Amino acid sequence: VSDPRFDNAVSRFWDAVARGEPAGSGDLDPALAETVRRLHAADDAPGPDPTYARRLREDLMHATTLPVPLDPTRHPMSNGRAAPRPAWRPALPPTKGRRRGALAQLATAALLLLTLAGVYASFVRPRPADDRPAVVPAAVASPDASPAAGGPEVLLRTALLPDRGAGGIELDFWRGAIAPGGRVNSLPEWAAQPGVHVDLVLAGTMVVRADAPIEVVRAGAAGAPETVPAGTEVTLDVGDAAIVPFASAREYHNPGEAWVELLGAFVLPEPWAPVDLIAPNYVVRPGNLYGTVPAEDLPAGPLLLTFGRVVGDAAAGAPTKLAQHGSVEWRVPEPHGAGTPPAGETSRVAYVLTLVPMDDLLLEAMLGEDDTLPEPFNLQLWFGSIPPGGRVAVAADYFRDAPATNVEYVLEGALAVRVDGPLRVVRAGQGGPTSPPESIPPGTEVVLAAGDAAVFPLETAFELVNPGQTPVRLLGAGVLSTDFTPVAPGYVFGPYAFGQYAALPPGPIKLTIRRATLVPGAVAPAPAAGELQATLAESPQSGAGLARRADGALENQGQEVVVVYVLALHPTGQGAGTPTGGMEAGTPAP
Amino acid sequence: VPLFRRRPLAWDEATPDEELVGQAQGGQREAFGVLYDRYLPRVYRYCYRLLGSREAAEDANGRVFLNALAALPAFRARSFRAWLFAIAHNVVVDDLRARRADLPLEAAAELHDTAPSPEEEAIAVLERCTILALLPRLAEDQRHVVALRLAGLSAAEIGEALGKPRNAVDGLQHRAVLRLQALVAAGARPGAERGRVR
Repeated sequence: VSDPRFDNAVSRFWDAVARGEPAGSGDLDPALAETVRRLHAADDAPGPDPTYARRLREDLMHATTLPVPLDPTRHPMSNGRAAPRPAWRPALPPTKGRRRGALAQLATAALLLLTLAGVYASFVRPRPADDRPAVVPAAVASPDASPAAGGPEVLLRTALLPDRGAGGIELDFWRGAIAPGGRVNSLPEWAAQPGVHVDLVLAGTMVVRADAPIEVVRAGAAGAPETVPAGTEVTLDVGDAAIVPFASAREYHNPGEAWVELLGAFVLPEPWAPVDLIAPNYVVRPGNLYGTVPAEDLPAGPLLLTFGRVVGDAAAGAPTKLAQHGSVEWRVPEPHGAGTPPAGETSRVAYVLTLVPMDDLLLEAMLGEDDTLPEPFNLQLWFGSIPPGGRVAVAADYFRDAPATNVEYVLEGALAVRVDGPLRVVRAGQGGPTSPPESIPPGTEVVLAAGDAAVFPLETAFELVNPGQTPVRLLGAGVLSTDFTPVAPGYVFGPYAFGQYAALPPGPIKLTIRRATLVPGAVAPAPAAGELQATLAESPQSGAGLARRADGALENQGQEVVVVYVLALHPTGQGAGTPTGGMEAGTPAP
Repeated sequence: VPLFRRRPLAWDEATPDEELVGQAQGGQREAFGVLYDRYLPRVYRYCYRLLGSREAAEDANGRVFLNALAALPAFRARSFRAWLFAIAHNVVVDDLRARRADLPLEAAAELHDTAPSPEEEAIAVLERCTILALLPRLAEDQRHVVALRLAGLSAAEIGEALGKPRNAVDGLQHRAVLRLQALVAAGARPGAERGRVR
């Protein structure tokens, strides 16, 4: 029987033998020590066949695999046992016993194994200093990693300029219909109410006439509206939308023999008079949504309205309202009795309305003497993400040669942050982006939600964890040391853009991050005197339409709406920053 | 986190495992290839020792590395080596259990002790001149600890791989060595009473 007093002695002796160190048996029974030595000396297990080893390596280098579903309540090591074994049948070189049926296994594997898209779709690339162009438009042209990827099918995207102050809005969103031959007229009591009425044709043909100009967005016109003069009839086909002043006197007519199916919305600035919002002959399908969106969810200014469609399992569920700082998302299912689905079955189609401010201040933070501000520096923005359960742990010496002030802004999901140094947090739900930051004691973990941001120095130990079940999507920003190569252990690094500057003037500096929505032809103003900027487009494809004008303003010369994030430093001391180069955009190389 | 480093995207023999993992997590599949090159022989031999045939070892070894590749984005352990062998351990255990499940019912009655007789042990020792021929006579958890030891893991890493506290690993390996010592003695004297040192 083993004596527990000697358990550790055996262990220490074995460790020394394993390391190849000459080890005396010490207190250990010499016979036991000899047994351990003999075990190592007698190890005669054969090595792998070289052909097998080479083929397996090739397969692994090209394998597509299914990420392990993480369950944080289980063992912290995701070691493969959490997944059903058949899912891990790889396309391996068949051994003799496995050759029969190997084709079937491969076929099964091909069906079961999916790509590690979230992780392996983002890559790193050295950034040689000598290939930097002198001036590059501050936009990203990248085929992947857009935070907006994978969302609903966009049916309509249009800018709204509701005449509103700092108040909220009354929002209504519905599936509607007009019977064959039916006519719908606006109500007289609507005449005093500002706001807009939006209708998009899902089926049939509809004729609209109003005593005010109508903005018409045609299907496939990618957001570019045409203006129909007051008093002129306009015919809308499937996919077309009409945006009409709510106060206008107007008529909607279905000249066809089938029902016109519609997706409609009222966007009415507060205060609004609680009048009847349903006109006679206008059929509102079940499942409509209405209510007030408070001002804190939707800052003042122009709004971008989007109608979208979701099809499949994701469409299931009751009507829902989601709101967070800077965006509103309402969803209604395709109602029964409207063609799909048959009564009693789960809806396979849902419609989504989103409203986001076209110029939204996401974060404002003061940087001072306590912050790391290297010179020269890159003012940089990037998209990042961490998969569910993912963890990024950085030791204190990891960035010792790369001092920087780092910002992580949560676009979507949740992020747990722990920093062994100064950490400031700005929460969207506690006063908004301009509220004074909350100082977090070193070593304390905080969990950030969408709209929250963390500011901390890179050259200290820190840990980022995604505690959620969905990827956390981040907008990273920083005042970074120049000429670094991006490496992302556990952090999926997406497209980025930066501007390079030599120095900042002394004194406090205000850092801001804004999200601007530029409709075709729109211009974002040039940086103010002394202001330093980096700009990153949300949609890489549409970002290609952005151009920097001679005066420094950013213009959307494309045909699609472009959402851009603008990181800016506003020196509050004397003088301005000294640019050393132009703006540069980039995408992690595959 | 920007995670910018001055260090170029390159590696050599001295590049730590966890740095290679970070690069692989960042999309550098070839960094995983370096880890594969580094650990293939040890993982393969580990599988071979416990499964007993080249064919089974190749099958299990392939699954170990594919599982590791798939789970890499979620790597959170301190030691990659311990994490990799935790995967290997689970694959091997699954295979051993599957073998038992595949046996017909009439064979189940013989499952209580599939180890060779003392005479067979002695012959094996003489034929192979190796103490390793006696590994099947160890209790399963002892056998796994010894196999992980032979794969080069420290006691601490074995604890991490098996999810056992350090003192439990120490006890298991101590009892395994005692058992092997006794079995060697029994092999030199065929007919010695089995199980005396259990």
